Amino acid sequence: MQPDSNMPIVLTNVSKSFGNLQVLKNVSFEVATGEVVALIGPSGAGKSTLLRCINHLEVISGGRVYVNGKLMGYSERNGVLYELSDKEASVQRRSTGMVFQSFNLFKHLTAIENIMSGPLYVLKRPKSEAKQSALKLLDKVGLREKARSYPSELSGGQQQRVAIARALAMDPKVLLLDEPTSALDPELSGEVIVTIRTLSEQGQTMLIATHEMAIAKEVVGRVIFMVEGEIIEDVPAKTFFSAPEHERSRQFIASHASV
Amino acid sequence: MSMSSIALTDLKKTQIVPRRRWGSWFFSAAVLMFLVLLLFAGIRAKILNVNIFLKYLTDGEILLGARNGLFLGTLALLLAFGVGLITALMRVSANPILSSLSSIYVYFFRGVPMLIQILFWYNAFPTMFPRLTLGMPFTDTVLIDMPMTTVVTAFLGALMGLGLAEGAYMSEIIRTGILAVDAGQRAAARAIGMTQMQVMRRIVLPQAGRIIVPAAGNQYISLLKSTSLASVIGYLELLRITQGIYSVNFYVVELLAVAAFWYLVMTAIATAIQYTFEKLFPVR
Repeated sequence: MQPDSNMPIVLTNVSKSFGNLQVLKNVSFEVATGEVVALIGPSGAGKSTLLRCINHLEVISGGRVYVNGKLMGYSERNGVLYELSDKEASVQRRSTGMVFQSFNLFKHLTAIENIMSGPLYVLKRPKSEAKQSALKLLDKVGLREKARSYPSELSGGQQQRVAIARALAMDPKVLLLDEPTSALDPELSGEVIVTIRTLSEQGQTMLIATHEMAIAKEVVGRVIFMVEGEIIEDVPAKTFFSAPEHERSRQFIASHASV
Repeated sequence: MSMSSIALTDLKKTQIVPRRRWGSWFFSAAVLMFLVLLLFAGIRAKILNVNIFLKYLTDGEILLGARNGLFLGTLALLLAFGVGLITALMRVSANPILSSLSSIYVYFFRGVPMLIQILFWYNAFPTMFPRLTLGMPFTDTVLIDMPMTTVVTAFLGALMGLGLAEGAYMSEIIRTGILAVDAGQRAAARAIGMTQMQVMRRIVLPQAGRIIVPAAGNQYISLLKSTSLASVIGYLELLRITQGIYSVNFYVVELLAVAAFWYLVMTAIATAIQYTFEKLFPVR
């Protein structure tokens, strides 16, 4: 079965265990082109693991992950899954961009070098071309004057915006954001939220694991609520906040209401 | 008058006396006095003939020894770095066989004294394998066939002994550097589509360099001095030549002082090289 390639992300019955601990239990959902989806839930619900399974940074224990209609991490022949080589998996991974809670900018490279690293080393683009598009991306996140700054010279919010630009430099079909504002104070997360909102308005497909109610309420169209590795609700954002179906969802919304 | 200007004028008027550390000053004076006494005692006893010291400082044989030592030590460091890098990558790899082979190498070559290893390569190895024979595979053509004693010269024996022993230390130094780069850097590099090799080359090693270089500089200095061990197999390095001269003229103190001087010069060179490399990996 080859899923609709108009669905950038398709997960069917994905499960993941670390030893005896099952972190993801039969997770299935789809994300359509241009859709912005929030993945919310209490700590330990498996949100980060789920994102890392989508780009095959984590190897799943069961089920299938499709990105752009392609089975991630494996080739399937006669009903058997063969894990792809490091090189093949790396090529597949280019179609997803990832943004991390702790930014993870390359510490030894300047902001612009961080953004150029993918096009230069992975896509083997000429340096001048990589630089031109990196400058455009810096404009997009409003940090052109910081091009030559090292990560240690940037604030957390600036680092995260550079990290978003670095992910966008690979022109990914889908952007996976793992708690992009959790390490930032409210003022700095504000500037990151503005960047994410701009991207959503430009039609960038995004899956965002977040605790930030401002993102969940204002930026996304749909909410997937997870508890202990299972999807409890998968509904439009408005429905989730105005009329949550489950008691556990109501508790979660109430506990985050003041934030 | 505002508060701050009061504070400023007060500061100008008031004399401030910092704490006096009488104890440490007294101790410094005592140590200096002791050194001066030692120097005078040495001059009165004529422990070192300065003219002899200066004469041998620039002696042709001595300079050759210093040059040989620097050459051997530097080549051994390069060999150690190559072996260390490969075995460190083996050690951090997911493959259990590569990883344990690397651990065994480090245990063995770090555990056996360097002197024994030098003697092994020069004396024992040619007895174990008396001839070096290299033929074209699947043919009878013989490319090289010579006695091992001709192949393993004193220089090669010393290079193998020093380089492989040092490689074990270097392996641990490089592994420490790699492990010091946090997992988030690797995850981010993987996420933009780099292969494991690219992650290592572009992201991990450039950051590990900051930790590896100072430690490697230390090892370089230690290696330059360890070249004196090669004197036991007759390699013409500084100590061997120095001993040869003083066994004839009995100016032991002067000649050992000359040797010490050139080892200090080598150390200064190594230190300068280390600082140059450290600038390539600045703290960011």
